[in-house]
Amino acid sequence: MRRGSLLVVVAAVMGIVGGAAAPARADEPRGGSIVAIGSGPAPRITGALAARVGASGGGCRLRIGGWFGRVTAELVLSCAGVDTDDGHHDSLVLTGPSVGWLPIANPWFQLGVRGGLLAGTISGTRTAVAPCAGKDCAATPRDVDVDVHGFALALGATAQLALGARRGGRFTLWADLDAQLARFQFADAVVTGRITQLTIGIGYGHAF
Amino acid sequence: MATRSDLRRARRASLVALIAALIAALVAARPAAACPDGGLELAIMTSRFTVAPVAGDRLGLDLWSRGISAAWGCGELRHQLVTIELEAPDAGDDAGQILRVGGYRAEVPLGAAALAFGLHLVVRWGDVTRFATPTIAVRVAPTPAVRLRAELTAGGAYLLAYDPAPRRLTEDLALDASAAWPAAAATRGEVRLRARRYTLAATARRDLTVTAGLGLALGARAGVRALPGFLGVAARVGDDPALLLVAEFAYGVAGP
Repeated sequence: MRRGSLLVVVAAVMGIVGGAAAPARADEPRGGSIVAIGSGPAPRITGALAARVGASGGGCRLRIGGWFGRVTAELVLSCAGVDTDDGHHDSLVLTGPSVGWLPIANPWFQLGVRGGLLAGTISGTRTAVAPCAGKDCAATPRDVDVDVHGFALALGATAQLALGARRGGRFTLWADLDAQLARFQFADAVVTGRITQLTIGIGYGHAF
Repeated sequence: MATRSDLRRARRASLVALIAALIAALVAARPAAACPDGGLELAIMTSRFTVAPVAGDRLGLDLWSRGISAAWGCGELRHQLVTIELEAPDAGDDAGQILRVGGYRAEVPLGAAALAFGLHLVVRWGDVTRFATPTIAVRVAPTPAVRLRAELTAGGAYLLAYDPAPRRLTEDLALDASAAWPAAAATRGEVRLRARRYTLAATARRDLTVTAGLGLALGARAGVRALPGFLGVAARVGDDPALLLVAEFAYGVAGP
Protein backbone atom coordinates (compact mmCIF):
# COMPACT_ATOMS: atom_id res chain seq x y z
CA MET A 1 0.00 0.00 0.00
CA ARG A 2 1.37 3.40 -0.91
CA ARG A 3 2.19 5.97 1.72
CA GLY A 4 -0.70 8.35 0.86
CA SER A 5 -3.33 5.64 1.12
CA LEU A 6 -1.82 4.41 4.37
CA LEU A 7 -2.03 7.89 5.87
CA VAL A 8 -5.69 8.24 4.89
CA VAL A 9 -6.56 4.83 6.35
CA VAL A 10 -4.64 5.48 9.59
CA ALA A 11 -6.29 8.87 10.02
CA ALA A 12 -9.74 7.41 9.36
CA VAL A 13 -9.22 4.52 11.80
CA MET A 14 -7.87 6.87 14.47
CA GLY A 15 -10.89 9.10 14.01
CA ILE A 16 -13.40 6.28 14.28
CA VAL A 17 -11.68 4.65 17.25
CA GLY A 18 -11.20 7.99 18.96
CA GLY A 19 -14.83 8.89 18.41
CA ALA A 20 -16.08 5.58 19.75
CA ALA A 21 -14.09 6.20 22.90
CA ALA A 22 -15.36 9.74 23.29
CA PRO A 23 -19.06 9.87 24.13
CA ALA A 24 -20.97 12.97 23.08
CA ARG A 25 -20.93 15.75 25.64
CA ALA A 26 -23.89 17.77 26.68
CA ASP A 27 -22.04 21.00 26.02
CA GLU A 28 -20.95 20.10 22.52
CA PRO A 29 -21.67 22.79 20.01
CA ARG A 30 -24.73 22.11 17.88
CA GLY A 31 -22.87 23.19 14.83
CA GLY A 32 -20.66 25.70 13.17
CA SER A 33 -19.70 27.27 9.92
CA ILE A 34 -16.34 27.66 8.25
CA VAL A 35 -14.79 29.50 5.35
CA ALA A 36 -11.24 28.25 4.98
CA ILE A 37 -8.25 28.39 2.72
CA GLY A 38 -5.12 26.30 2.85
CA SER A 39 -2.13 25.13 0.93
CA GLY A 40 0.25 22.23 0.95
CA PRO A 41 2.95 20.39 -0.91
CA ALA A 42 2.49 19.20 -4.48
CA PRO A 43 -0.01 16.35 -4.54
CA ARG A 44 1.10 12.86 -5.37
CA ILE A 45 -0.36 11.58 -8.64
CA THR A 46 -0.36 7.86 -9.36
CA GLY A 47 -1.95 5.47 -11.83
CA ALA A 48 -2.32 6.05 -15.56
CA LEU A 49 -2.93 9.72 -14.89
CA ALA A 50 0.69 10.08 -13.76
CA ALA A 51 1.84 9.35 -17.31
CA ARG A 52 -0.14 12.35 -18.54
CA VAL A 53 0.43 14.92 -15.81
CA GLY A 54 2.86 15.32 -12.96
CA ALA A 55 2.32 17.57 -9.97
CA SER A 56 4.48 20.66 -9.84
CA GLY A 57 4.32 23.41 -7.28
CA GLY A 58 2.01 23.37 -4.33
CA GLY A 59 -1.61 22.48 -3.91
CA CYS A 60 -4.39 24.57 -2.48
CA ARG A 61 -7.84 24.10 -1.03
CA LEU A 62 -10.89 26.24 -0.36
CA ARG A 63 -13.64 25.03 1.96
CA ILE A 64 -17.04 26.63 2.55
CA GLY A 65 -19.56 24.92 4.77
CA GLY A 66 -19.97 23.73 8.29
CA TRP A 67 -21.24 21.01 10.55
CA PHE A 68 -24.50 20.09 12.24
CA GLY A 69 -23.88 17.85 15.20
CA ARG A 70 -21.51 15.22 13.87
CA VAL A 71 -22.34 15.66 10.18
CA THR A 72 -20.31 18.01 8.02
CA ALA A 73 -21.22 19.49 4.66
CA GLU A 74 -18.90 21.59 2.60
CA LEU A 75 -18.29 22.93 -0.85
CA VAL A 76 -14.67 22.07 -1.56
CA LEU A 77 -12.32 23.38 -4.21
CA SER A 78 -8.91 21.83 -4.55
CA CYS A 79 -6.22 22.91 -6.97
CA ALA A 80 -2.70 22.05 -8.00
CA GLY A 81 -0.21 22.94 -10.68
CA VAL A 82 0.64 20.13 -13.07
CA ASP A 83 3.20 19.59 -15.82
CA THR A 84 1.72 17.87 -18.84
CA ASP A 85 3.39 15.24 -20.99
CA ASP A 86 3.64 17.76 -23.85
CA GLY A 87 5.70 20.12 -21.73
CA HIS A 88 3.13 22.66 -20.59
CA HIS A 89 2.25 23.85 -17.14
CA ASP A 90 -1.49 23.56 -16.50
CA SER A 91 -3.86 23.93 -13.57
CA LEU A 92 -5.82 21.09 -12.06
CA VAL A 93 -8.97 22.28 -10.32
CA LEU A 94 -11.67 20.06 -8.84
CA THR A 95 -14.69 21.33 -6.99
CA GLY A 96 -17.86 19.86 -5.54
CA PRO A 97 -19.79 18.83 -2.45
CA SER A 98 -18.28 16.90 0.41
CA VAL A 99 -20.01 15.35 3.40
CA GLY A 100 -18.38 13.89 6.48
CA TRP A 101 -18.79 12.36 9.90
CA LEU A 102 -17.09 13.66 13.01
CA PRO A 103 -16.40 10.88 15.51
CA ILE A 104 -14.69 13.56 17.62
CA ALA A 105 -16.83 16.68 17.76
CA ASN A 106 -15.28 18.42 20.73
CA PRO A 107 -15.86 22.20 20.94
CA TRP A 108 -12.11 22.74 20.55
CA PHE A 109 -11.12 19.87 18.33
CA GLN A 110 -12.86 17.97 15.59
CA LEU A 111 -11.62 14.96 13.70
CA GLY A 112 -13.59 13.24 11.00
CA VAL A 113 -13.74 11.28 7.81
CA ARG A 114 -15.11 12.75 4.65
CA GLY A 115 -16.24 11.81 1.17
CA GLY A 116 -17.20 13.91 -1.79
CA LEU A 117 -17.73 14.06 -5.51
CA LEU A 118 -15.74 16.68 -7.35
CA ALA A 119 -15.82 17.78 -10.97
CA GLY A 120 -13.33 19.96 -12.76
CA THR A 121 -10.66 20.39 -15.37
CA ILE A 122 -7.00 20.29 -16.19
CA SER A 123 -6.76 23.56 -18.04
CA GLY A 124 -4.11 25.61 -19.77
CA THR A 125 -3.36 27.51 -22.92
CA ARG A 126 -1.78 26.31 -26.15
CA THR A 127 -0.60 28.18 -29.19
CA ALA A 128 -2.67 27.02 -32.11
CA VAL A 129 -4.23 28.14 -35.35
CA ALA A 130 -7.77 28.95 -34.38
CA PRO A 131 -10.66 30.25 -36.45
CA CYS A 132 -11.62 33.84 -35.84
CA ALA A 133 -13.96 36.41 -37.30
CA GLY A 134 -11.31 38.63 -38.92
CA LYS A 135 -10.28 38.38 -42.55
CA ASP A 136 -6.61 37.61 -42.16
CA CYS A 137 -6.45 35.94 -38.81
CA ALA A 138 -7.41 32.38 -39.74
CA ALA A 139 -3.82 31.35 -40.23
CA THR A 140 -2.40 33.35 -37.34
CA PRO A 141 -1.40 31.29 -34.32
CA ARG A 142 -3.11 32.40 -31.15
CA ASP A 143 -3.32 31.30 -27.54
CA VAL A 144 -6.37 29.08 -27.08
CA ASP A 145 -7.74 27.64 -23.86
CA VAL A 146 -7.59 23.88 -23.56
CA ASP A 147 -9.70 22.04 -20.99
CA VAL A 148 -9.57 18.37 -20.10
CA HIS A 149 -12.70 17.57 -18.14
CA GLY A 150 -12.90 15.05 -15.35
CA PHE A 151 -14.28 14.15 -11.98
CA ALA A 152 -13.14 12.46 -8.80
CA LEU A 153 -14.40 10.57 -5.81
CA ALA A 154 -12.62 12.19 -2.90
CA LEU A 155 -12.09 10.29 0.36
CA GLY A 156 -10.19 11.73 3.25
CA ALA A 157 -9.82 12.89 6.80
CA THR A 158 -10.07 16.33 8.36
CA ALA A 159 -8.73 17.62 11.67
CA GLN A 160 -9.69 21.03 13.05
CA LEU A 161 -8.44 22.96 16.08
CA ALA A 162 -10.43 25.97 17.25
CA LEU A 163 -8.39 29.03 18.19
CA GLY A 164 -11.12 31.06 19.80
CA ALA A 165 -14.25 31.02 21.88
CA ARG A 166 -16.51 28.01 22.29
CA ARG A 167 -19.42 29.98 20.81
CA GLY A 168 -19.48 32.79 18.29
CA GLY A 169 -16.91 33.82 15.70
CA ARG A 170 -13.51 32.18 15.89
CA PHE A 171 -10.52 31.15 13.85
CA THR A 172 -9.68 27.52 13.17
CA LEU A 173 -6.52 25.68 12.18
CA TRP A 174 -7.19 22.67 10.01
CA ALA A 175 -5.54 19.91 8.01
CA ASP A 176 -7.03 17.80 5.21
CA LEU A 177 -5.66 14.58 3.79
CA ASP A 178 -7.43 13.56 0.60
CA ALA A 179 -7.21 10.69 -1.82
CA GLN A 180 -9.04 11.65 -5.02
CA LEU A 181 -9.85 8.77 -7.34
CA ALA A 182 -9.99 10.72 -10.58
CA ARG A 183 -11.08 10.09 -14.15
CA PHE A 184 -10.25 12.55 -16.95
CA GLN A 185 -11.24 12.56 -20.59
CA PHE A 186 -8.19 13.41 -22.68
CA ALA A 187 -8.52 13.82 -26.44
CA ASP A 188 -7.50 10.24 -27.16
CA ALA A 189 -8.61 8.30 -24.09
CA VAL A 190 -10.23 8.29 -20.69
CA VAL A 191 -7.48 8.17 -18.05
CA THR A 192 -7.85 7.29 -14.39
CA GLY A 193 -5.55 7.82 -11.46
CA ARG A 194 -5.26 8.83 -7.85
CA ILE A 195 -4.34 12.25 -6.50
CA THR A 196 -3.21 12.30 -2.87
CA GLN A 197 -3.13 15.74 -1.35
CA LEU A 198 -2.27 17.12 2.08
CA THR A 199 -3.45 20.64 2.86
CA ILE A 200 -3.04 22.76 5.96
CA GLY A 201 -4.82 26.05 6.43
CA ILE A 202 -6.77 28.50 8.47
CA GLY A 203 -10.47 29.19 8.57
CA TYR A 204 -13.00 31.46 10.17
CA GLY A 205 -16.53 30.63 11.18
CA HIS A 206 -19.20 30.75 13.84
CA ALA A 207 -19.87 28.01 16.33
CA PHE A 208 -23.43 27.77 17.63
CA MET B 1 -45.40 21.54 -43.52
CA ALA B 2 -44.71 24.41 -41.16
CA THR B 3 -42.26 26.99 -42.41
CA ARG B 4 -39.56 28.57 -40.34
CA SER B 5 -41.59 31.77 -39.93
CA ASP B 6 -44.61 29.71 -38.79
CA LEU B 7 -42.45 28.07 -36.17
CA ARG B 8 -41.14 31.42 -35.01
CA ARG B 9 -44.67 32.83 -34.86
CA ALA B 10 -45.98 29.85 -32.90
CA ARG B 11 -43.04 29.98 -30.52
CA ARG B 12 -43.44 33.66 -29.84
CA ALA B 13 -47.20 33.33 -29.39
CA SER B 14 -46.77 30.50 -26.87
CA LEU B 15 -44.07 32.37 -24.98
CA VAL B 16 -46.09 35.57 -24.88
CA ALA B 17 -49.07 33.58 -23.58
CA LEU B 18 -46.90 32.00 -20.90
CA ILE B 19 -45.48 35.34 -19.79
CA ALA B 20 -49.00 36.83 -19.75
CA ALA B 21 -50.20 33.92 -17.60
CA LEU B 22 -47.27 34.43 -15.26
CA ILE B 23 -48.00 38.13 -14.87
CA ALA B 24 -51.72 37.44 -14.42
CA ALA B 25 -50.97 34.93 -11.67
CA LEU B 26 -48.68 37.40 -9.92
CA VAL B 27 -51.26 40.18 -10.11
CA ALA B 28 -54.25 38.03 -9.21
CA ALA B 29 -52.63 36.29 -6.30
CA ARG B 30 -53.53 37.66 -2.94
CA PRO B 31 -50.72 38.48 -0.52
CA ALA B 32 -49.17 35.41 0.98
CA ALA B 33 -50.81 34.22 4.15
CA ALA B 34 -48.80 34.89 7.23
CA CYS B 35 -46.37 32.14 8.12
CA PRO B 36 -43.71 32.24 10.82
CA ASP B 37 -40.64 32.75 8.65
CA GLY B 38 -42.08 33.72 5.30
CA GLY B 39 -41.40 30.20 4.12
CA LEU B 40 -37.87 31.22 3.19
CA GLU B 41 -35.59 28.55 1.80
CA LEU B 42 -32.06 29.33 0.73
CA ALA B 43 -30.01 26.75 -1.12
CA ILE B 44 -26.32 27.42 -1.60
CA MET B 45 -25.73 24.64 -4.05
CA THR B 46 -27.36 21.51 -5.41
CA SER B 47 -25.38 19.00 -7.46
CA ARG B 48 -26.32 15.69 -9.01
CA PHE B 49 -23.61 13.34 -10.22
CA THR B 50 -24.79 10.49 -12.44
CA VAL B 51 -21.81 8.24 -12.99
CA ALA B 52 -21.21 5.20 -15.18
CA PRO B 53 -18.95 3.15 -12.88
CA VAL B 54 -16.86 1.60 -15.65
CA ALA B 55 -14.92 3.97 -17.86
CA GLY B 56 -15.41 3.41 -21.58
CA ASP B 57 -14.34 5.77 -24.29
CA ARG B 58 -16.41 8.52 -22.63
CA LEU B 59 -15.96 10.15 -19.28
CA GLY B 60 -19.20 8.66 -18.01
CA LEU B 61 -20.35 11.63 -15.96
CA ASP B 62 -23.74 13.29 -16.40
CA LEU B 63 -23.54 16.40 -14.22
CA TRP B 64 -26.33 18.72 -13.15
CA SER B 65 -25.60 21.54 -10.76
CA ARG B 66 -27.50 24.56 -9.49
CA GLY B 67 -25.97 27.56 -7.76
CA ILE B 68 -27.59 29.82 -5.19
CA SER B 69 -31.36 29.75 -5.23
CA ALA B 70 -34.00 31.20 -2.95
CA ALA B 71 -37.67 30.43 -2.49
CA TRP B 72 -40.16 32.32 -0.38
CA GLY B 73 -43.85 32.81 0.20
CA CYS B 74 -46.54 30.58 1.60
CA GLY B 75 -50.25 30.38 1.18
CA GLU B 76 -51.44 31.65 -2.19
CA LEU B 77 -48.20 31.92 -4.11
CA ARG B 78 -44.63 30.81 -3.75
CA HIS B 79 -41.68 32.30 -5.64
CA GLN B 80 -38.31 30.86 -6.54
CA LEU B 81 -35.27 32.60 -7.98
CA VAL B 82 -32.34 30.61 -9.37
CA THR B 83 -29.02 32.23 -10.17
CA ILE B 84 -27.37 29.63 -12.38
CA GLU B 85 -27.73 26.04 -13.54
CA LEU B 86 -25.28 23.85 -15.42
CA GLU B 87 -26.25 20.62 -17.16
CA ALA B 88 -23.59 18.52 -18.84
CA PRO B 89 -25.04 15.25 -20.17
CA ASP B 90 -21.54 14.24 -21.19
CA ALA B 91 -19.27 16.23 -18.92
CA GLY B 92 -16.17 15.45 -20.95
CA ASP B 93 -17.53 17.31 -23.94
CA ASP B 94 -17.02 21.08 -23.81
CA ALA B 95 -19.56 21.83 -26.54
CA GLY B 96 -22.30 19.62 -25.12
CA GLN B 97 -23.20 21.69 -22.07
CA ILE B 98 -26.27 23.69 -21.13
CA LEU B 99 -25.86 26.78 -18.99
CA ARG B 100 -28.96 28.54 -17.66
CA VAL B 101 -28.42 31.95 -16.08
CA GLY B 102 -31.20 33.52 -14.07
CA GLY B 103 -34.55 31.90 -13.59
CA TYR B 104 -37.89 32.57 -11.94
CA ARG B 105 -40.66 30.18 -11.02
CA ALA B 106 -44.05 30.82 -9.44
CA GLU B 107 -45.93 28.04 -7.69
CA VAL B 108 -49.66 28.25 -7.12
CA PRO B 109 -51.36 25.77 -4.75
CA LEU B 110 -54.44 24.00 -6.08
CA GLY B 111 -55.88 21.98 -3.19
CA ALA B 112 -53.70 18.93 -2.68
CA ALA B 113 -51.65 19.89 -5.71
CA ALA B 114 -49.50 22.80 -6.80
CA LEU B 115 -48.78 24.11 -10.26
CA ALA B 116 -45.54 25.93 -11.03
CA PHE B 117 -44.43 27.71 -14.12
CA GLY B 118 -41.49 29.90 -14.92
CA LEU B 119 -38.72 30.94 -17.24
CA HIS B 120 -34.99 30.54 -17.60
CA LEU B 121 -33.85 33.99 -18.65
CA VAL B 122 -30.65 33.24 -20.58
CA VAL B 123 -29.78 29.76 -21.80
CA ARG B 124 -26.52 28.84 -23.44
CA TRP B 125 -27.52 25.65 -25.27
CA GLY B 126 -24.32 24.12 -26.57
CA ASP B 127 -22.93 26.85 -28.77
CA VAL B 128 -26.09 28.93 -29.18
CA THR B 129 -27.75 31.42 -26.86
CA ARG B 130 -31.48 31.51 -26.19
CA PHE B 131 -33.58 33.82 -24.08
CA ALA B 132 -36.65 33.02 -21.97
CA THR B 133 -37.13 29.28 -22.18
CA PRO B 134 -40.14 28.03 -20.21
CA THR B 135 -40.61 25.36 -17.58
CA ILE B 136 -43.81 24.00 -16.06
CA ALA B 137 -44.21 21.67 -13.09
CA VAL B 138 -46.95 20.01 -11.10
CA ARG B 139 -46.74 18.63 -7.58
CA VAL B 140 -49.40 16.35 -6.12
CA ALA B 141 -49.76 14.91 -2.62
CA PRO B 142 -52.54 12.28 -2.89
CA THR B 143 -51.88 11.35 0.75
CA PRO B 144 -49.70 13.07 3.36
CA ALA B 145 -47.14 10.28 2.97
CA VAL B 146 -46.84 10.34 -0.80
CA ARG B 147 -45.51 13.13 -3.00
CA LEU B 148 -45.56 13.04 -6.78
CA ARG B 149 -43.86 15.62 -8.95
CA ALA B 150 -43.39 16.20 -12.66
CA GLU B 151 -41.59 18.99 -14.49
CA LEU B 152 -41.27 19.75 -18.18
CA THR B 153 -38.42 21.99 -19.34
CA ALA B 154 -38.69 23.16 -22.93
CA GLY B 155 -35.26 24.21 -24.18
CA GLY B 156 -36.50 24.43 -27.76
CA ALA B 157 -39.09 27.08 -26.91
CA TYR B 158 -37.72 30.57 -26.52
CA LEU B 159 -38.56 34.18 -27.12
CA LEU B 160 -35.34 35.05 -28.90
CA ALA B 161 -32.21 33.18 -29.88
CA TYR B 162 -28.92 33.61 -31.67
CA ASP B 163 -29.49 30.28 -33.32
CA PRO B 164 -28.75 29.62 -36.98
CA ALA B 165 -31.02 26.53 -36.97
CA PRO B 166 -34.19 27.22 -34.98
CA ARG B 167 -35.59 24.26 -33.09
CA ARG B 168 -39.16 23.10 -33.00
CA LEU B 169 -41.13 23.51 -29.80
CA THR B 170 -41.04 19.76 -29.31
CA GLU B 171 -37.23 19.56 -29.41
CA ASP B 172 -34.73 19.96 -26.58
CA LEU B 173 -37.27 18.77 -24.05
CA ALA B 174 -36.62 17.27 -20.63
CA LEU B 175 -39.29 15.63 -18.50
CA ASP B 176 -38.51 14.91 -14.84
CA ALA B 177 -40.87 12.97 -12.63
CA SER B 178 -40.47 11.64 -9.10
CA ALA B 179 -42.37 9.85 -6.38
CA ALA B 180 -41.34 9.91 -2.71
CA TRP B 181 -42.57 7.87 0.25
CA PRO B 182 -42.86 8.65 3.13
CA ALA B 183 -42.53 12.19 1.83
CA ALA B 184 -41.90 14.00 5.10
CA ALA B 185 -39.45 11.49 6.56
CA ALA B 186 -35.76 12.27 6.93
CA THR B 187 -34.97 9.06 5.04
CA ARG B 188 -37.42 8.18 2.31
CA GLY B 189 -37.70 6.01 -0.74
CA GLU B 190 -37.67 7.78 -4.07
CA VAL B 191 -38.26 6.70 -7.65
CA ARG B 192 -37.27 9.13 -10.37
CA LEU B 193 -37.72 9.24 -14.12
CA ARG B 194 -35.93 11.54 -16.53
CA ALA B 195 -36.60 11.61 -20.25
CA ARG B 196 -34.58 13.82 -22.58
CA ARG B 197 -34.80 14.74 -26.21
CA TYR B 198 -31.81 16.99 -26.87
CA THR B 199 -29.76 18.13 -29.81
CA LEU B 200 -26.48 19.42 -28.43
CA ALA B 201 -23.50 20.40 -30.57
CA ALA B 202 -25.20 18.75 -33.57
CA THR B 203 -25.49 15.47 -31.68
CA ALA B 204 -28.92 14.03 -30.93
CA ARG B 205 -29.50 12.54 -27.49
CA ARG B 206 -32.68 10.62 -26.73
CA ASP B 207 -32.69 8.75 -23.46
CA LEU B 208 -34.80 7.67 -20.53
CA THR B 209 -33.30 7.19 -17.07
CA VAL B 210 -35.11 5.43 -14.23
CA THR B 211 -33.60 5.84 -10.78
CA ALA B 212 -34.45 4.22 -7.45
CA GLY B 213 -32.83 5.16 -4.19
CA LEU B 214 -32.96 6.82 -0.81
CA GLY B 215 -33.58 10.46 -0.16
CA LEU B 216 -31.63 11.60 2.88
CA ALA B 217 -31.68 14.54 5.25
CA LEU B 218 -28.31 13.99 6.85
CA GLY B 219 -28.03 16.99 9.11
CA ALA B 220 -31.62 18.13 9.20
CA ARG B 221 -32.99 19.60 12.39
CA ALA B 222 -36.27 21.18 13.30
CA GLY B 223 -36.28 24.67 11.82
CA VAL B 224 -33.14 24.06 9.82
CA ARG B 225 -33.37 21.89 6.78
CA ALA B 226 -29.85 21.29 5.64
CA LEU B 227 -27.96 18.65 3.72
CA PRO B 228 -30.75 16.92 1.87
CA GLY B 229 -29.30 14.37 -0.48
CA PHE B 230 -30.02 11.34 -2.56
CA LEU B 231 -28.21 8.11 -3.29
CA GLY B 232 -29.47 5.66 -5.86
CA VAL B 233 -28.91 3.37 -8.78
CA ALA B 234 -30.25 4.00 -12.25
CA ALA B 235 -30.72 2.43 -15.62
CA ARG B 236 -30.53 4.51 -18.78
CA VAL B 237 -32.00 3.33 -22.07
CA GLY B 238 -31.86 4.98 -25.46
CA ASP B 239 -28.66 6.62 -26.64
CA ASP B 240 -25.67 5.53 -24.58
CA PRO B 241 -27.47 2.94 -22.38
CA ALA B 242 -25.79 2.25 -19.05
CA LEU B 243 -26.21 1.23 -15.44
CA LEU B 244 -25.48 4.25 -13.28
CA LEU B 245 -24.81 5.43 -9.75
CA VAL B 246 -26.56 8.62 -8.72
CA ALA B 247 -25.49 10.94 -5.91
CA GLU B 248 -27.22 14.23 -5.25
CA PHE B 249 -26.33 16.75 -2.62
CA ALA B 250 -28.10 19.96 -1.69
CA TYR B 251 -26.56 22.31 0.81
CA GLY B 252 -28.94 24.90 2.13
CA VAL B 253 -31.11 26.06 4.97
CA ALA B 254 -34.75 26.82 5.44
CA GLY B 255 -35.99 29.65 7.58
CA PRO B 256 -33.99 32.52 9.08
